[in-house]
Amino acid sequence: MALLLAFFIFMRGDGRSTVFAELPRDPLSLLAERSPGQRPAGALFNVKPPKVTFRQEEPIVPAPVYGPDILPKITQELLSEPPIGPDTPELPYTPTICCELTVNEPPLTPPLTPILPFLPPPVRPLPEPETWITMLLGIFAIGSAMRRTKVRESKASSRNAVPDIA
Amino acid sequence: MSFDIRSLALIFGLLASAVAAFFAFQPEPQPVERIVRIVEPSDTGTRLAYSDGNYPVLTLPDGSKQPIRSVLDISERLRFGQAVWDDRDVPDGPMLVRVDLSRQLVSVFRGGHEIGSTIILYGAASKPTPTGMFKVLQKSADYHSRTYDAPMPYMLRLTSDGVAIHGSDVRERAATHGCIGVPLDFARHLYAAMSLGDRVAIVKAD
Repeated sequence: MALLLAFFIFMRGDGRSTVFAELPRDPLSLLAERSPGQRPAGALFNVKPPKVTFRQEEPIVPAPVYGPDILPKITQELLSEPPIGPDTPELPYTPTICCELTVNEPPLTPPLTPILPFLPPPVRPLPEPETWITMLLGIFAIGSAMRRTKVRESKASSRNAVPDIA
Repeated sequence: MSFDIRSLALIFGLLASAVAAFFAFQPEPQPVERIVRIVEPSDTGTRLAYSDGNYPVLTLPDGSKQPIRSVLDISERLRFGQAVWDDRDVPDGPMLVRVDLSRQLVSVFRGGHEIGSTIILYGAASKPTPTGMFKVLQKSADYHSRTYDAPMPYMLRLTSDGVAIHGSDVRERAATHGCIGVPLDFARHLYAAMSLGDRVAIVKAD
């Protein structure tokens, strides 16, 4: 009952206006409630919508430098110790050079692919229907792109007409 | 090179689809949505009124005191381009426009009752809006700025060097050359309510 009474006291008035009987609030705090706050720095006269966001350039990775370590390396063990098996006959010693490739980097040359001879198709004296279709599609694509550009520019100009204000 | 019936059908089918795609991808111009809530007499709204003898007082830049009798009940945060105008049952009285630059707000008082409020645009950092007390020096409903070659509808001139309140396209992160921009509908109501010599207070902070 007391709550109801307090409510009626709070809501007294002509129904459309709420009267602060108990707690008068600062009007500035009421203004702050509806305010968007302070304007961020950097507001300019002409504000155009952001058009392009530049992507950050990827860092340039230096190309690997191939040094002499990729060259064949003669193993000193094989040079110093001739391979003599138990049952191989005694032969005049000929040093065996074994090549050992250190594969740390990818190979210098890509794997060989068979190079197929490219023969252009024979040119007909008159364009084929497929050629006509491709050409017409390209013309339509160019036309639609130009129309869309024109519409966008007109919209942008109409949008930028108003903010040039004092 | 054979134009038999199948290739012809292929050509016309692709042409028709190309034409259909050409018309289907046309962007339709969409109107920019600006929500303006100008309270008309048929609307219902509330007003936060202070009780008699309990009026808070706003100190204006010239040192004068302005008692506030009621404030518009705008419970939510206003959006850019949104405006509220409600002068029903508000008696005649001296007009006062309080422009709050730090809150980006304007409040229109008639006899201490707030009758309108919206978000404003004000001068950029390179051309700031002056603060202080001003009076309406000139009214022009269809003004066109010679300096900026721009329409300034419902212009209320405040200073002789060109600072005014006028209707403009209020958007976020936009600024003016020193004027105070308000939405167009709000500017129309303000223009109708203000007369020459009425006071305008422009404050930067409390």
